Amino acid sequence: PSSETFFANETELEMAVTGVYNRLWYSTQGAVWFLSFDFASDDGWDRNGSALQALGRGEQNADNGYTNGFWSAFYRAINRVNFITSGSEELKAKMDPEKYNRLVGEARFLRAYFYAYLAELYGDVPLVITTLSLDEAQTPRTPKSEVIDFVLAELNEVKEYLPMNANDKGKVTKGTVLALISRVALWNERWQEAADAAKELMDSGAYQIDPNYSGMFTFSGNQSPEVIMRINYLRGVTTHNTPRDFLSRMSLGHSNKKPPQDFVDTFDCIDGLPIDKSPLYDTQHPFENRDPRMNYTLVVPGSRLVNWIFETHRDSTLTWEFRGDEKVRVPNIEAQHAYASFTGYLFRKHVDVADYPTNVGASEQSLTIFRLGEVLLNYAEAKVEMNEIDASVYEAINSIRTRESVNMPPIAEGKTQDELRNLIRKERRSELGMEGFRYFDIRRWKIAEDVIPGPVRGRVNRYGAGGWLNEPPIIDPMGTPSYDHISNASEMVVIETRAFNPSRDYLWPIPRIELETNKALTQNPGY
Amino acid sequence: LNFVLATSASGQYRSIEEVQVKIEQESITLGQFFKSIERQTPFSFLYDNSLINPSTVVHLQGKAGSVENFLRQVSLQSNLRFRQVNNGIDVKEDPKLPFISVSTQKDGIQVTGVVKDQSGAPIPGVTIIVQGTTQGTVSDVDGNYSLDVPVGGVLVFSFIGYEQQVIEVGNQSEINVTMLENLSALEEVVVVGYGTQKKVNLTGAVSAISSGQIVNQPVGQSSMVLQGVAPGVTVTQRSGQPGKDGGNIRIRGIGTLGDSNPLIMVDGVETNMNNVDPNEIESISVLKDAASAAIYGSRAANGVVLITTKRAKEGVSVSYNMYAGVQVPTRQPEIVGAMDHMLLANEAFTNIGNDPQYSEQFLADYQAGMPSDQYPDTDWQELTMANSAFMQSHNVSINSGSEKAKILGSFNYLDQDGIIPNTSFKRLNLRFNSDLQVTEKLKVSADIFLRKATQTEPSSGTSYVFHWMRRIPANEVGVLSNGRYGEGWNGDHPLARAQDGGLRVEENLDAILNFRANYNFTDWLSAEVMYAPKLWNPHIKSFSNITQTYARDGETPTFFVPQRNSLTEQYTREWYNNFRALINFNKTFNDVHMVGFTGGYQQEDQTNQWISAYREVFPLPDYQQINAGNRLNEQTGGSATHWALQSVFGRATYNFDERYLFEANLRRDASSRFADGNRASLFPSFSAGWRMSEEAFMAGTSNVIDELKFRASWGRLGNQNIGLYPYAAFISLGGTAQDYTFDGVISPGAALNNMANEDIKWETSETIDFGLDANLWGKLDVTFDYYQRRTSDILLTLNIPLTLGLTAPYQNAGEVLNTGYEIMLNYQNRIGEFSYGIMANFSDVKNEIIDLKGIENTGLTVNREGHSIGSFFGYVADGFFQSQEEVDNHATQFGMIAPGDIKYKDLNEDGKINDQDLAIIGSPIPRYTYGLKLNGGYKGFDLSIFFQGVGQADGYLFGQGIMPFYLGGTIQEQHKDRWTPETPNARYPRLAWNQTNNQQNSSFWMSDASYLRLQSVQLGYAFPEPILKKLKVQNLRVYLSGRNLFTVTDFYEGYDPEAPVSDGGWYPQMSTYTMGLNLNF
Repeated sequence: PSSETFFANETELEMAVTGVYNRLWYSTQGAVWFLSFDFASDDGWDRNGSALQALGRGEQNADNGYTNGFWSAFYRAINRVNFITSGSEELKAKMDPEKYNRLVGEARFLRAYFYAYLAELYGDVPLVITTLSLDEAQTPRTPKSEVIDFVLAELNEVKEYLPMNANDKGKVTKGTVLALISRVALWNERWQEAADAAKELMDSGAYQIDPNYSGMFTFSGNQSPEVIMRINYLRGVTTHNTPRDFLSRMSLGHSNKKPPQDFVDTFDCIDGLPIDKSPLYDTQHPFENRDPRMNYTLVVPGSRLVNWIFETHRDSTLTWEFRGDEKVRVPNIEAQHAYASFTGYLFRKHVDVADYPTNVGASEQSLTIFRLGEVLLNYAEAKVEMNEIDASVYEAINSIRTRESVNMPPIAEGKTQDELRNLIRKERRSELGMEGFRYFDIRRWKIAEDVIPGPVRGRVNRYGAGGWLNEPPIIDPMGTPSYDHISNASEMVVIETRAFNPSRDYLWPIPRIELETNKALTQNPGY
Repeated sequence: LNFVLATSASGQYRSIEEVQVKIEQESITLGQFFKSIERQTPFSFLYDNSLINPSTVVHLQGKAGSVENFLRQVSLQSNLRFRQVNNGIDVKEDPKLPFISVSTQKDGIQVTGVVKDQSGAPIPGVTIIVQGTTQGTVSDVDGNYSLDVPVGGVLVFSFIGYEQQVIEVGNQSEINVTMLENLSALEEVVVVGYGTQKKVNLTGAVSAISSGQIVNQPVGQSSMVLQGVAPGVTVTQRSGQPGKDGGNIRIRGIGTLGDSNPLIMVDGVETNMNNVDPNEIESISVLKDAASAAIYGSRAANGVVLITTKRAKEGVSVSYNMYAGVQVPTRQPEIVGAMDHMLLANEAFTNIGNDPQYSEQFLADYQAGMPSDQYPDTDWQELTMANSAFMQSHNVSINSGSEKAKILGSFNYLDQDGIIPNTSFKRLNLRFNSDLQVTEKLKVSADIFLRKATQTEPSSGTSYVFHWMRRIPANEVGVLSNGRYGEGWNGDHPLARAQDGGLRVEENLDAILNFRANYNFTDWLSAEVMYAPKLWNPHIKSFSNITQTYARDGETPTFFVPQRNSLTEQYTREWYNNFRALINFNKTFNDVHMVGFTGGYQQEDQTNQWISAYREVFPLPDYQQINAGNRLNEQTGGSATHWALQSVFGRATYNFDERYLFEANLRRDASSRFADGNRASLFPSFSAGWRMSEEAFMAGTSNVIDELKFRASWGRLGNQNIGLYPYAAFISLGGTAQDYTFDGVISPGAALNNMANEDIKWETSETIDFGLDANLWGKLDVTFDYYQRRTSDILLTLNIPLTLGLTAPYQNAGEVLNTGYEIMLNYQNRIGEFSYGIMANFSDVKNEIIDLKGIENTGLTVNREGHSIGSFFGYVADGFFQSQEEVDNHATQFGMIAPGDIKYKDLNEDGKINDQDLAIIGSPIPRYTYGLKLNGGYKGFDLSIFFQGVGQADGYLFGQGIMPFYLGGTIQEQHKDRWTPETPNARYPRLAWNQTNNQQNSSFWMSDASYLRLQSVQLGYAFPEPILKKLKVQNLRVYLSGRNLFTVTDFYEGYDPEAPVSDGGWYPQMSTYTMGLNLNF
């Protein structure tokens, strides 16, 4: 059909809205888009010599393929929505208006979602909300605050068109809208709005904290009471290769994306104290007595991954394989492979071992993009920033920490605003690790300039050496470790050295080609 | 055709002047008149009933007289002309002949013999005339002739394309003659658009290539025979894979940013040149300038290649041509062994401040235990590649022709193996070209062409195989001692995938039917209609099987690739209709005004439809049929396209005395690819020539200058290869770019993805051409052309603001200028029995983008105003850093920099190397292309040597193709010439693990891709007559041939200079060594 005659009936509208959801499948540099950001944060690293790796190092420019990719992918998605909102008006009279509003509401939600990310990454961006002709396309940048105004206004409007349906994890629901409002408002320091939306969702009772933390990131997440929305995949249409990216070589993965030592050390001990303060921390057994979320999020040496004990020290030429109840010694590829042991750690979150072996490279496991846990932390942070610290703040944080499978000690009441702010920031890193938040958090808190520059380190990994740090790193109140004082810090693997230019790197460059085609645009400072 | 009446008279015959007859009637019909004379005399009349109406009435004066007297009266009243031949009187309707002629009567002897060409093949149709008379004959299909020659007579043998032979008969009764090819090509007739022209009368730039230059070349793909043989025609071979080893043909450079392929016509039907077997080709004409190509209008902007296939001659003959031989890679990189790999990797690790990857102890153990499963030393290239691959070609053609019907059946078989497992190309061509002379005026031709080509390769693709065999370090296991596959690289294993990973088989069925009817109204007016449908029916079946690899213990299964076996099968059917009607007018007025006109109408349309099916999980992988797969996740696809083109065209030629030549062409094309209003466009051209050598004032130089012609032309051409319906905006329905899934169920989606531009119109290119053709001393042909081709309104997808969210539409936006010149020299001579020839050609084209509306793309290859298309774009490398001090004082680069790293020029001098410092660093477009062919013949031996080359071109390799330890890969022998403090002038930078500084796009990785190549050598021997008689064959020649024998180049070690811009993972170019046989019965 041609663009002139489309939107003749309800089916065509449904298909067009499906076409917008389709854009959630955007993946870049081998990773699903929302997961990819954190590999340029202090939580991760992409080893592929890629444009994403360059971004992490602070070497991005206006031709960076990774950053430019989002601009075109998201505007592509936005235009699919504009095509619906600009073209389907007449259809409204011909079909059930409620259904029309719901369908178009889902599309408008997705447009707001993508605009929120564009504004966060690029700052001021052209706000295009109708289908434009080539001549009309010379659109200047709209101030970020106006873009956010639009996003929040849209979300508040479509909220009313969408049902609160906790069982539907694939479609946009009222829960998703509230979750996004809280996220966008928080990111833009509209604390009241963030807290209100979060509160509305919390009070609705539609979602509950899932006692099983890691279940939210496997196939069983489809039934999780906490999960609000997931990106769905289907073999034969589109799958993702997160298991291939994350898993070890023994388990048929390529371990392309790695967590640095830094991320490992941010997790507290089970007594709720950071590793430099906790008596439970043993430098020779650094992974014992740790916040269980470390193991749910990461694979650390000595832990089981699929059928093997994951070992990465260069001297560990053998490892254990589980065959039924038996444990056998087998050669350890992870230690021998040239690319096996960059940092000595792997990511585990989002990987379901059920994908081993045949679906490692093509998983149809849904990926969680909205869940109640984030909303609770959004609420707590907004309230703390407004200095409205009450029991509901502690309750929000502690309901996460004390869930059955995590069981960390609750935060005791009576903290100052500053203490709580730091606690929440650290909690976000532990709770929401590798869910695509860290990259945005360190930018909006303006701590990227502190946590990014310098060497990206892996474990101690020298032939014949012990394998562990002699002393624990010093952990700052936000959970950022520092290593310079440690006597054998020089034995840590350095995988690269990063830089961060605060006068430039808090915003991405507008694609250079866009400045050539749209003369009304201006570049961000420093590019 | 060549019809000369054999006349032989001797004393026993009386002349028509002597013989008296009586005829009573004053008015008499021709029939009665002939009968009356035949009754009274020994004469009989010979005439063609279809030409002469016997009931025509003639009036006679006088009742008695000589036969001559009566014939003269009849002749005056009609167009009839009479000639006495012995006792026969030949009657012709031809006003140009004398009214009556009588053959002289002399005693003579009968001479017989055979006429052959230099290779010993008989030549039918050679005219043999007794010098100074009209007596003569024509050789038959076996080259035999027989003729009565008067004593002391001299025979003149002549045939188009051969030098005249003059032989005194003396008292010989058998005279066998070897005709020598005409050393001046200017007498040739050349195939041009919708017709032929004498080469001397050409006013456009046309290169003609005859079958002699094509046959016996061991090339699977016909496009390769054009490499180096014609100036201005650049052929680049980017792969040596059987079936994919054809060349990209560029005529006079690259004229557009879109599709730059020339239009290829085989017998008037647009076809892929590689579908034709070289044995089938009679001639190739390359139309280079707008004047010669304009009659093809909208598809001619990139030049036109016209191929004419062989047709039958009179007589019966059978020929068999074959060759067989081996192919070996021209160059391949040398990759280090396991110990070197690990030692160098340790160096790379320590260079970046990390600990070595392999401990001393481990290396010592390795050295002691190597090679074994535990400590492998795998040469992946040797493991995966054979040393050589076999290749053979057979051609049988059967010629059967009479005056009325001629049929040529040609059968070709090509079988080409690859140097990696499961890689081959097989092609079977069948051709029946038939010509029927239905009546004197009506000729009908019907050609049938069938082709079956089977391309087999591993399902993973050959580039996968080459990629991995050059990437995996030697310390990974290839094949374990128990025969299982070692792990390779996370299961990626070139041998396993090539050998056991399943096959991708592409089977192409092609058929072209070509019906033509040609009617000659008179000798100056004819018409032709042609209907030539074409069917293309490819079938692709790709079964990807699982290959399992094992750990070094030989027992533990590790990676397996792919994760599911699967079968994809696709059928396509393409039907192309081609109808055309032509009218031809050719007449000479007053002997000097030659006027020609060709007018035509053509209509073409093509429908393409395809359907595909996919299933995965085949529990029994030996049963590779769709139904044997699991239905879960089965997938189908299918689509169809259609386009049409309607054209009228014409050509007018005028020349005065073959001295002043003029030509004009005009074509109007209407294409379905444009919106209403922009569909049709006109493509005119004008050209003129002046044959100065024909002027009276040049008479004094005629002993040197046989021919001298100046040409000039201007014309405008179009290009419609821009996709099918880019002017319309369509909603995409379904597919991975639109669908989504809710609750595990696929949900069909829809989206508008492309922006349309209703206003697009034809891309046009204007060419001016000045040329010169000369022939000196009758032996040296010289052709020179200078041209300028300006392509404007180039249809390209200019970047549009990405905020529109749509794929950019085509716009008429670009302008490209090509300026170039071409020289061709051809010298042929003979000293006694030694004949030799030298052909040399040289050409250059400068390509420049004039206008791109200011848009500047980035990437490794870019199109930018003021530079050539596809220029390389990167940092300007400035040697290596030699000291830490130098690093510190230089602009900041990428990551951790140390001495030995590549230094880049800070072009904008802002103290940092970033995208502002990128520049155009080179161009892959070949310049100064040349060819040099030497050939010689002595008695039965013939030798030809052909060099070909490119004087200037840049090549670029990246990634593991040339960068040491790229993304954890391995390293080549040449990289040992690396920077260290002791070797500051090394070719390659210091070794560094996983650092990006040295991997940036830069002039460092660009390499000079100019080359001189010994393209082919062929030594042949034709067996002499006595042996042939014993063997009862007409001709037998055997030869040895080598192709692509050696190359002189400064390009990267291990890679062919025609390398594609790539990471080295392509099927390498091949050298071919063959022996062959030509046999005629």
